[in-house]
Amino acid sequence: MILAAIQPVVQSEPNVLAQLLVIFLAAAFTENILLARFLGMCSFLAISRQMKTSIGLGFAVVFVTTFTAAINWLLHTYVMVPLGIVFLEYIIFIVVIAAFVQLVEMIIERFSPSLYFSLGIFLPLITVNCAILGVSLFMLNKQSFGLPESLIFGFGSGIGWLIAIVLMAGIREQIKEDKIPPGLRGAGITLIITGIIALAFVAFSGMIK
Amino acid sequence: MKRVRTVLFMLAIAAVFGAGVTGLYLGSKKTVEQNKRFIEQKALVELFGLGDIQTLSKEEIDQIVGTQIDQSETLTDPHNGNTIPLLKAYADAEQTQLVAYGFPFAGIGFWAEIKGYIAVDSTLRKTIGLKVIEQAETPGLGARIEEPFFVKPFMDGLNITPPAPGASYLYMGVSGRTPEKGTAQYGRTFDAITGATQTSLAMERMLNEAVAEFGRCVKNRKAGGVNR
Amino acid sequence: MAFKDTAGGKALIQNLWHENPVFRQMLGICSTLAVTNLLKNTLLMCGGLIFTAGLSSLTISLLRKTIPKQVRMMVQVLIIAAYVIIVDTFIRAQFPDIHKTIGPYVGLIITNCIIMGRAEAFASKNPAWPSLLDGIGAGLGYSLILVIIALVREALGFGTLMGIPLPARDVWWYQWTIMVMPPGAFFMLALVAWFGNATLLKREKNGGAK
Repeated sequence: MILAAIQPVVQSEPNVLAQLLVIFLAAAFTENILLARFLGMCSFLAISRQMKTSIGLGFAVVFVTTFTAAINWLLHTYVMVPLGIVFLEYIIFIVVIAAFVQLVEMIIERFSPSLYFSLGIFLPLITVNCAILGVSLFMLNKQSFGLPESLIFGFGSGIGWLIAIVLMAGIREQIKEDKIPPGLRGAGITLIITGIIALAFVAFSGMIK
Repeated sequence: MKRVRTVLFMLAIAAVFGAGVTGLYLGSKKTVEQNKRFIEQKALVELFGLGDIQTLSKEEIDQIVGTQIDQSETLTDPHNGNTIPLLKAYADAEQTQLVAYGFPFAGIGFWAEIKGYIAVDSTLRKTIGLKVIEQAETPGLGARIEEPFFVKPFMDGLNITPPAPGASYLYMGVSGRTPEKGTAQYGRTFDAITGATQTSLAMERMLNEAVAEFGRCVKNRKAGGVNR
Repeated sequence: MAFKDTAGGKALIQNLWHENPVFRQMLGICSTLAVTNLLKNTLLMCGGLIFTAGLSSLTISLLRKTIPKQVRMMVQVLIIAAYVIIVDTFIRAQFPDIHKTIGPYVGLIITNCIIMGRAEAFASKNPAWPSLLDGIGAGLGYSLILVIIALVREALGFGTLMGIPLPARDVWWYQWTIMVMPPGAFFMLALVAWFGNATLLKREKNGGAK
């Protein structure tokens, strides 16, 4: 909501930093990619078991969403639109994401083997995290977005995902010792908790018009 | 050497599948455009109540849109210089009996762009219909903006005369609760969709913008502003 | 040799319940949440998924020896995305009315981790025929769970099935809006996972490792 509300202002209002902050906050909280749009669920459910790995994956997602949003924005604006190949956007975006993830994996492996070992196994998972393709596609819906706005939008969405998974990891570590029916352990109880958090987020949606 | 092979392989795969997708896209482009045009024509006939789209054939609908709806005039918004098309719907093919005016609206919904038309009566004071042409809102939730229950208040007639300063043209309200007479919301309220607050808010915003712009355009036209 | 003992048959049957992609492997959750409030949309989505999962598993399996290891993921997503777009374009041209309902899910099918998961775990290591069956099996296992959830959500949330009102609707049934909204899907999925896991656990306990 807040994003759309500021759209007419974007061109005329000189205070660019304030607008970028609004875009960031909206992407991270009111339009939280995981809790309001329900994207990126699979790795969220699988990884949120432990705090440490959640933080690792969360930061990897932040990194990838930020840069793929920017790269995809550039490709869309300067290559796909001029050439009239917008119909290939799904393919191009997802390949860019996969390529970027693979590139990041190789760079980290080369320069920081210790980081690679703590993060490495989670990197390939990011490719199929639908939150990342989602960010690239939503960014194009906001027509007034330029490169800085897209970058901040990608960054904010990633931070939103990070916040959500860290929240969930905290809760799951707390309930580890509790008596939960065996069939409900793991994914089942996580789903119920996410459902309750999502209900709370429904209330957020009416807050900013 | 291995790296070269990898790059070549990737390029080959991309070329094969890219060519497949492009070929199919180009091959079906014409049909897709025709489908899109037909959906829009059907929507216009339904919006202005010019016929029953269930029984009419494709050709008949095409003919009705061609003869009974005049789409030649555009209006200019003096505020920002935007132009919007003005649709005039007639009850007969000779275009003597004006039924209604129409104008488009568009905006960003919860997931993607929503596009459609609003119909207003010949006095330009109240709506007589609303039709969404393009939307990708959540099925079963936001996507219900196409359903009769959402459209009904617009068909019954919502007030679109300029509101009091600070008030809006249209409001989204709670289903089953009619605003009291004398309030800003009276006669200007449509039902929000339960569980789809974001889509409802987006509709409220884009409809208000479209109605306000239409109002400015009409005022400009009456004042003898440049059209077409 | 019975069908269920062949490599492909085994893969197909395993995916239906014991290794069900949704409640055992927790894959494909995003689309489960998004589409299951209406049975009709669920069926369309499942059809699309079975088709794409089967085809992309088959293609990836055929290419498994030629795909260089470093670009494996890129090739896989490219193949999946291409198939989805091809299906999408075909439906858009031939069945515009159906496309209106299924259109918004295209992105969800591409990023559905079931397809990628099966490609990575099975198709990249196995011959073509079992891979095709594995992909279809994963699609069917996914569909089974989605249809169960959709039946409950549409009935409780809208008071309808396939858009047809149930007898109790508007008489004494009050529609549960929460079932229409995504949190309803979380709770339903948790219940299905609970039931599924509990039965599997019980069977393991009884030593009936089937």
